[in-house]
Amino acid sequence: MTAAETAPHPQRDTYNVYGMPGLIDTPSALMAPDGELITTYSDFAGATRASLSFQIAPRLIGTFRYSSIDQFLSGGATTYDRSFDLRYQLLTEGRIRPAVAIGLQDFIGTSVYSGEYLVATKHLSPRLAVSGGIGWGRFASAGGFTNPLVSISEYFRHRPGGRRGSGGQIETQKFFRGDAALFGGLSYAVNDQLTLKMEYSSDAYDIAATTLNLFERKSPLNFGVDYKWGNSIHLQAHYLHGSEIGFTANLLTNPKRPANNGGAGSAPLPVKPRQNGIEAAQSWPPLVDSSQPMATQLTTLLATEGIELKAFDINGTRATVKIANKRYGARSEAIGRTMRALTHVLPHSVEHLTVIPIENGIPISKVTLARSDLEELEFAPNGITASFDRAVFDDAAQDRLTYDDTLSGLNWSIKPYVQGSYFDPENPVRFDFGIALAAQYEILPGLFVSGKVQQKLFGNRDESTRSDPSTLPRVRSDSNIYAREALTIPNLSLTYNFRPGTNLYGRVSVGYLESMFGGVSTELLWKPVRSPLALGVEINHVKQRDFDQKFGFRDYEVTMGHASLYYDFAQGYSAKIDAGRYLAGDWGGTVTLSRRFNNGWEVGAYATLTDVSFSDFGEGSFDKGIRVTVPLEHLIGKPSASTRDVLIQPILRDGGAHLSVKDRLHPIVRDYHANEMQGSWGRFWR
Amino acid sequence: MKPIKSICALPLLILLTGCSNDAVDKAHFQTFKGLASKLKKSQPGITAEQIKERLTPEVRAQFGGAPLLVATVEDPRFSSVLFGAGENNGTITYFTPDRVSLSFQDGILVATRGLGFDLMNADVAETRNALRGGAGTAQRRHRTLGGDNSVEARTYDCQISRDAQSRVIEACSGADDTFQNTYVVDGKGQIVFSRQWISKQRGYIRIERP
Repeated sequence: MTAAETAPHPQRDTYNVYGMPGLIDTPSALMAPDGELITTYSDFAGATRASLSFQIAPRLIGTFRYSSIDQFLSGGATTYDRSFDLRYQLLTEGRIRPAVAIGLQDFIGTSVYSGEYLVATKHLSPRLAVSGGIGWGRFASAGGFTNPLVSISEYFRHRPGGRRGSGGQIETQKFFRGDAALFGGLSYAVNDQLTLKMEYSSDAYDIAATTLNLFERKSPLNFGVDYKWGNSIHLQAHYLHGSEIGFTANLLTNPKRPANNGGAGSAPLPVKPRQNGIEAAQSWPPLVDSSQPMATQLTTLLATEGIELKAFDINGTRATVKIANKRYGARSEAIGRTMRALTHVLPHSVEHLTVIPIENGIPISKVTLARSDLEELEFAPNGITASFDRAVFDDAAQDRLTYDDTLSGLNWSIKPYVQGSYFDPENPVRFDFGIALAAQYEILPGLFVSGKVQQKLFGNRDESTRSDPSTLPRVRSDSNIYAREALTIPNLSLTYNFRPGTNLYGRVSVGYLESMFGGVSTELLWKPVRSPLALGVEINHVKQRDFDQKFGFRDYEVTMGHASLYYDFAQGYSAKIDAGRYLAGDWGGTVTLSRRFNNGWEVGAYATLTDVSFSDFGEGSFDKGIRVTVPLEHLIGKPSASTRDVLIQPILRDGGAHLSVKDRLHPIVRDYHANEMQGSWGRFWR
Repeated sequence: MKPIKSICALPLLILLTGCSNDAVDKAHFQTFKGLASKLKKSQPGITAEQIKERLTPEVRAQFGGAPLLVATVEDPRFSSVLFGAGENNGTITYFTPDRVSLSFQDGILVATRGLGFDLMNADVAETRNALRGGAGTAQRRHRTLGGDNSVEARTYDCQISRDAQSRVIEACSGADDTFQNTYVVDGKGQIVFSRQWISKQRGYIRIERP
């Protein structure tokens, strides 16, 4: 490849009103940088669109969009619409060859924006890009001509109208059918901040322009200006269809960007080698009082690292410690810091260092490295790879140390919380703010009593009076009634985590498991330390809690649960398949596809299909959603094991509903296993 | 060093934090702190000169006779004392009282920790040789961690020469970056002052023996 082919193109960076790389209304064949998350807010002629786009893989980008269109419904009410897009880049741009992409717009939702396109983009210079394409559906609503695909089959001549059932299904019966039209445009990057755009749009805005008279479509030409502010914000203004001004803002982030401040946090202890260099006439100050027992010295050193020593044992040339990592999202960093601390206290005769991380009272894995390897590799150029290659990962189910495990005792926290409800047509975004007191006490190793009390301070989630009819037991659709209570106990339960055998992990939880259900939840997970595959079974018997979320129950109860298969593909892509029975007693399965970055960012999407018919499910037809997990340490630039989850669930209905029990085993277990730790092993030495 | 911009990239609500009893979190670096009681934190604004003035024999004694350095990161500018805390096979690691560490081989920076945008390790064998001779060419290899914890390795080709003030200049260029390190070497071949490059985002650090 020549330099010109790999040079970054300025236009790579500009997005259309749908939140996809493109011009204004129209798409381009370009992709965002791999991993990019683009939040877009766009407003024009009574149509507001909020989109979240994710560059799933270098050549695949997807979007979830929530839009409102004024006066769309009969009687002048505003309609709210959810839609999903996908675009795949068939050809990357070459010296002569343009980039070519195929796209589906609004292919699952209620199809207000539905259309398909094939588009090519070529940079005539690094600043000037030209795009042209052919579109169907919405992209052929102006200037349409007979579909050229008719030469293949008459099937393509007419596009069926309407939509299937209650929306939310993949509208394959429409793809590439009906009239087609051409669209295209130019973008010119004046400098690194400013990009000018012009396009010919084949979108007639039929409903908005003709039926609703929200604006007058005088011209197919649109003009736009995009101002890039810093690395993360684009502000755009558009002059559309010869009559309207529109605005778009894009907020960009990428899990691959450096952590805030490059990820600081205090430096680790250096390895203390057993023999100093020949010139080591220098006396190094001892870092810890060596007159104390070894376990005490180690406890002191590890405490400064945010690591709690749970057990310690020396057997001949082998030292083993159990630790609880309280600070490092990168689990390898906790292992690396523990091993370096060990070199400061152990007698010279000890050569094999084993660290067993404990989470929720159970040993998760066992990592062993030779002390001489630590001494050799601390500053070795190949030290990161070599130390992973020489580390031995084992199962830790059977380890009994001579020192008793210390219990983690009482942990408590008082934190503010935010709870949101989304996508209610009366008010698409509602929030509650409040304060939550959480506490956990370890009674025996692995046996915890934990609970949470929550007091709402202010918010408007209680204002929802929506009551959708449901033919199913109302397991989730009464969530707005639950939201009316200010002082609640979201959970109060007794949990026992244990290791029934090699590669096996178990959990039993009893009590008020989540804000709407209480009962018994049991789980068994099989996950070898070096395996990308895990299998699990979860069986629960739960009863619906009273709306006040204190101690009472309602009448509905159900036995439900799933068999689950988890698989980690290469490069952070993973799949999870659940099959079983859901809260409303419906049987079915959930497929979850995720991409997890080595710093803990995760973007995933799931869909659940059950034996509830699409019409019984109601609006949306089946349960689906997007989850984004953000590691706090990436934002604050200091080590932290905390993460924040954002779940976007377009429609909360009763079909395909999971129990929301905490401390499920797989996410806890996989983090300390070889596959997960390999990706972040650079942190072993930080 | 622009926290606001990164934080802006996400809804602020996910940043909510609170308080807890987590004893481990609260444990400070007592051992190091005790050692450095007189020179607590590197206060913002304190200059390398001011630090050197405060390094009286009594203060030096508090560090148990460990070798000391004074270092200044150029942007954003801050200075701190560092004390030698250990040596592993020819690499000496120094710590600041607030626990940033710098590691050197023959006075050449090979690793930093706790600064952010840290240098994970550097292969400087050829630079060490060329520096002993005072001139020549050398290839370096630096490793850093990307935002997703991936290991990023970069190779630099360097020219080592003496300038008019007989300082040793190491001019390096790689695929993405160029930098120029400066070393002042005394009669015994020891580096007494240097200005060395850490990483693209962290820039240069000046190191001197007080």
